[in-house]
Amino acid sequence: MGNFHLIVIAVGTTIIFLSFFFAFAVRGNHTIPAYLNLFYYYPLLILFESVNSILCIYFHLYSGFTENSIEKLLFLFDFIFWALFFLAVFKSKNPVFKKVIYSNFIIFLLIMLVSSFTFRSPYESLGFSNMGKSIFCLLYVYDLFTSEPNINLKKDPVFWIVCGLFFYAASTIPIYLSLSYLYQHYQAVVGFLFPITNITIIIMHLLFIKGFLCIKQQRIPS
Amino acid sequence: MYQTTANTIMIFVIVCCVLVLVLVLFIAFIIYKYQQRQNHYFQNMEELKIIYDHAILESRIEMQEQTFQNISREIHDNIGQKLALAQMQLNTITYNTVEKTSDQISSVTAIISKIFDDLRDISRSLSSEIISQNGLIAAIEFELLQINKTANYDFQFNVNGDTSFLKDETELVLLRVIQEALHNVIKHAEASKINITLDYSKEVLKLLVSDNGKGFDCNGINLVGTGIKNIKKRIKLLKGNCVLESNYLTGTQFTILIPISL
Ligand SMILES: Nc1ncnc2c1ncn2[C@@H]1O[C@H](COP(=O)(O)OP(=O)(O)OP(=O)(O)O)[C@@H](O)[C@H]1O
Ligand SMILES: [Mg+2]
Repeated sequence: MGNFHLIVIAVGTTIIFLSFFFAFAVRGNHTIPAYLNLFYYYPLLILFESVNSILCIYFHLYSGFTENSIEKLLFLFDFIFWALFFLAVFKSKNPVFKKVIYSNFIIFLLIMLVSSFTFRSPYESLGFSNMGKSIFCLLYVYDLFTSEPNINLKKDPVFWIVCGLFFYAASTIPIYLSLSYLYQHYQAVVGFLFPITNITIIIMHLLFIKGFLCIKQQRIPS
Repeated sequence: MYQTTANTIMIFVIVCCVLVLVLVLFIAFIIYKYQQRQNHYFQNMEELKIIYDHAILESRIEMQEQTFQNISREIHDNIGQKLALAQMQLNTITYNTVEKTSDQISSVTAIISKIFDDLRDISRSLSSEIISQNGLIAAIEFELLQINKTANYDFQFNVNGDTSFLKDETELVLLRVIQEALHNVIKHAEASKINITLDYSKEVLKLLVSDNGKGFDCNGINLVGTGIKNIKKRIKLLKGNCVLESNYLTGTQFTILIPISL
């Protein structure tokens, strides 16, 4: 399992680098929405997270507590990043819908803050963050089906990005929320669940890349 | 040991495959549903566009009819009269003295040059051309001028706000609506004053046509004619709003709001 885990991590890192590369390549393109111009921050955030664990686990540069705190902070940024992304993406002008979006943002931000201080490990706060993101994704689908259907979904970068995010966020909620408990009682299972979360992250980034390739395709005719 | 590792990897792979399968199904389902909705939407759009085009065409035809009526009236009442007068004067030329004859001839010439002017006016009087060349306001002014040739109304035409050109088609439909409303006033209202106001603001154009006539019950009965129905239908197509108020004290008032989309 150990080798396998390493392979997953290596492939994952490569894919994240790739998605960073693609996000970076399309930035400054005036034909795409502004929030996609800044998307390369996101893979960067995840790379920071990896670097943080590597520095702690393999190089022992700082204690697990520091690592966890940094991780919690990064997860907080991550959630805020996605919230801003969705705020820019939603089309509906319905005031009730807007209220729902903002309250979703604020509620989960608060939950994340509270769980950062109550739990020792950062994964609970990540689990809640993923819950918030999943709700954002569902709201996106709702928005998609209530606003004017005038986009080509298969060529819409936002759609692919949201699909990737939803896949990752929704499938890892139970894992992250139960990770501490499992770690105490069924340690063997954890070693098996962790690569699954990594695989979902890889697939998410593959879908991001698919989304960014859509932008490149759009760019050619103009 | 080796066995358990193989088993774990097996389960792992299966779990991942299931997850990915769910993802693919999810994406396919959403795309499918969305495209279904999209097809439906485009179909509706198409139908709406056909209705809209039809309404524009109708307005155009009606306006042409109106113009033909104007022209035939002009020819009959105005040019015909003048030609008759010229003919009469030519018939009465006496040839007694050169001076008198030349006087008579020059008066006939004057009449003929007036006829030329009238003819030129007629050829300029195609409302749809006025709209596309000079805009709605000029067309309304021309319309009022036409009406005043046969009837005597106290017209008030006000334009407020920064005027902006709407789409040709929108202006055409609006002019047709105004024509219809004016036509109703002439036909039914027994009014002496007619007021037309155009209020341009950033997002809407407010149009008001009111008279001081006898009014009618605009809510109670089903309207028999096609005029008012047409107005309502067309304003709806322009995504506008129209309100008809009428009573026998103050007369009839049409208020129309049209969104200005740039
Ligand atoms: N300005 C008005 N003043 C008084 N009565 C009016 C006025 N406008 C409309 N009406 C009344 O409303 C009725 C319906 O008008 P509408 O324009 O729909 O039909 P119409 O003028 O009778 O026929 P059409 O317009 O098809 O030639 C008219 O018959 C008339 O009695
Ligand atoms: Mg009428």
